[in-house]
Amino acid sequence: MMRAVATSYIIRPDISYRQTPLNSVFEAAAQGFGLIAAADPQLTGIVALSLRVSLSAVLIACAIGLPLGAAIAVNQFPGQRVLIIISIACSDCHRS
Amino acid sequence: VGLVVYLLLSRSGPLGSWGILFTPTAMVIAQTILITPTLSALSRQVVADAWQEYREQLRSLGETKLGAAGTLLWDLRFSLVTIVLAGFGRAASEVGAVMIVGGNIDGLTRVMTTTIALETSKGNLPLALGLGFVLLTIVLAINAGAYLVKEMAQRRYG
Repeated sequence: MMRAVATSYIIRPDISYRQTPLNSVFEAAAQGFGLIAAADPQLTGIVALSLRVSLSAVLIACAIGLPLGAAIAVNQFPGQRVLIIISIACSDCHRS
Repeated sequence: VGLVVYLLLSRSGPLGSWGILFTPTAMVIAQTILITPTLSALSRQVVADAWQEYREQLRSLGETKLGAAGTLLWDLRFSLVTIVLAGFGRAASEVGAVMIVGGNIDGLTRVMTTTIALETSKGNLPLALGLGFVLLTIVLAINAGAYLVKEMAQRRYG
């Protein structure tokens, strides 16, 4: 009895993916396509969230970025070149 | 970018009281900050080229600079589509910042790129490959669709 209770507290490693040993990358790819074809709920949820986040970000960035770009383009002001260089640099150094 | 947003939104940070760290909202903020410079830099280039060409004409029509900027943006909308797509591609394929501020929480803030990174590390290749394929397909499909729309609209409106 004690033993049964005790073992239930042991965290078992998640070995579900080992139940189907993968012999090759192609097999994994085939299973991957299977997940897409079956519209696996986990997969569709992740895809939906991805699209929602990225599309909202693009919409907001458009509302800010495009008018800003146009405003910088048609106006002449001190520090314009510095601002242009900074904005180009910022669009490149986006790692973490 | 991710780290800065994390520090801003973290509980002890200046915007910590909003309590939005590790939510999709935080990820939207991080991606917005990430791609706004890209969009403004590219659109500035396009608008500046057009401004060189049409400055005298717009001035002769008595446009203010603000009006001219609006007119140019509207006139260049087909070129801007490409720029917006570049921004979307960058946002959708981003891993680092989204992982930092989103936390890659299953079912809440786990997106395609972070899942691919995680599942590959776990050796769960089917899900990783499937998602990788979906990501490529989506980016490709959106680009193709927008390109076709642009072509059609250009033929129609000149």
